[in-house]
Amino acid sequence: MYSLTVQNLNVWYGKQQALKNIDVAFPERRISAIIGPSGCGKSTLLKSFNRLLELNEQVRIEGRVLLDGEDIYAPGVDVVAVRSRIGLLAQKPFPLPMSIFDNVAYGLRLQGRNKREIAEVVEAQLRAVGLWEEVKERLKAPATGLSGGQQQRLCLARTLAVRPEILLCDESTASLDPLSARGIEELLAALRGHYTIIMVTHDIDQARRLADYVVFMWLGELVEKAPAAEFFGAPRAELTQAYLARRIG
Amino acid sequence: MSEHISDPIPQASVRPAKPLYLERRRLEERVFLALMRLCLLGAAAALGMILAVIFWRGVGALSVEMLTQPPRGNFYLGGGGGIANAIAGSILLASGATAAAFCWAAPLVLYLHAYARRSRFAAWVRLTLDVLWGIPSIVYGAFGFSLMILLGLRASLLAGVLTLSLVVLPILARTLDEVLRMAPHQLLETGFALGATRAEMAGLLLRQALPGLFTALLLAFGRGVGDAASVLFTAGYTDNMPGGIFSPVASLPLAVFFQLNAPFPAVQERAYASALVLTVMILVISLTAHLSLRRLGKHVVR
Ligand SMILES: Nc1ncnc2c1ncn2[C@@H]1O[C@H](COP(=O)(O)OP(=O)(O)OP(=O)(O)O)[C@@H](O)[C@H]1O
Ligand SMILES: [Mg+2]
Repeated sequence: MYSLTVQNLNVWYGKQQALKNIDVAFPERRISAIIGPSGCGKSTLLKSFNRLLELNEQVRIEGRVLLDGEDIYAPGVDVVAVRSRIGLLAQKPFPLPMSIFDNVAYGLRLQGRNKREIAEVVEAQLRAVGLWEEVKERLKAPATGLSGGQQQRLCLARTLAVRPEILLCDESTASLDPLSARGIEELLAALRGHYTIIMVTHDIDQARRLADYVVFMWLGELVEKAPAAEFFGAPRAELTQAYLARRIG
Repeated sequence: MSEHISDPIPQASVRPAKPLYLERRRLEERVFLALMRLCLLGAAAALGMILAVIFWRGVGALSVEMLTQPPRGNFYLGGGGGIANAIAGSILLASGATAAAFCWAAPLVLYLHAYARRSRFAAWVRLTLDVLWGIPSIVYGAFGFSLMILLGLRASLLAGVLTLSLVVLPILARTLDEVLRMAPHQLLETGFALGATRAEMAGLLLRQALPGLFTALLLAFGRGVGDAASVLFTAGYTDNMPGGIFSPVASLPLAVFFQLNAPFPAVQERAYASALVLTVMILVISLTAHLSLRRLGKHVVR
């Protein structure tokens, strides 16, 4: 089963084409990794999945992105509804300008949940990311006071609190120290089977450790896509082989 | 043609710079440093002198009566009373105008940032605000006055507040605009990714802008308190304490003006005392604005 399918996707920033004829389907409740050298269009591809690309006025998008079989770019589709089904964990942890509690509660309040429910979900999610014991005494304190690793876990809790079906991670461990990065990685691994996770990473070893499915991109084109064992065991394209051997990129 | 390929790495010149050049460049630096310090000193001296003059000429006339009493009958001939009417009037005018301008500027600027973004429309709005900022306040005064005539209104607190709010609006709107422009792009991405609508995004932006918002309000208030030309015809002037939004009110800049025009040295001295009160008010507001920018920023993500 696939939960997200991309069909013939083309993206331009002004006149410059960033994605060319992308066709790929991401397996449901598995971790998929998008790898490739800097500037090859990984973030662009990821942001096309929750229509965040549109925040940039000069972006032009062609093609289809199917979420449970329905094109999220079709006319009449409610962008807000699409976005609340797809969570995003960014590269740099970004706490909203409010308290720790309010950060996790933010998405829930948007959905109009009641107070008791919000308090429950916030606690459950903070526990799930292993932050509860560290912050339960200072839930009202500004979230900016947390360390980088704690902030990223808070962001994960905030994203998961709204119960998305798909979790997008754009190099979510890249800005963290090794220990915090490991922590986030383990959390993502534990989410396998519950969420469809699509992660962008620079780190081939991380992809090896986590991914069930791998997509390799090069200069805006999709070069190879395969289940992880196949991808790492017997890469077909020469570019892939060179990249995995770290001869290029 | 020789087959020789030139050395790909050019050799660095190892000759030392001539000592003469070094000497000249050091001298140049000293001259420019001295010039910059002179300019700095000049600006500081100008501010210092203004403060000194109004302090020395005004402090003698400053008294509790001056600050707490409205003028009595023969005030402008050197009689008793004070400028409490103008102090109260100015505070009312400036805070009313700031509040009115805020109710107008905040939705406008939030619309620009949550909806219009970098559209051509947004560029036009910003240009318009910049033009409005540049218009001298006497023009607003004249505009407000002709509007009053048209509507059959008297000079009043209400008319003064509305006119002054026009003066303050571009300042407030553009300051807010700049504050929001500094909001990181990731704030938008995070909010939208969590399923915020554009209206809810505006709320998030407002939160991010809170410290800057406070500063913008204070700046606007400071400008409003000091403006004379826009309230001259519209708010009028009176020796009474403010008595409702439909009656005229006094203001500090005009109090300075009228007293300075009096032929009696004692009254002129009071003009300086009034100017001192006004200046101290503005100084306090500016300092608070400056300090608040650091204090209120505790939730803000940089
Ligand atoms: N806002 C933008 N405006 C113009 N061009 C952009 C913009 N964002 C990205 N690009 C271009 O699109 C291409 C793909 O960028 P993208 O950020 O998707 O790469 P990436 O694979 O995520 O790189 P990295 O690994 O460095 O994050 C690049 O050539 C980049 O220069
Ligand atoms: Mg990227």
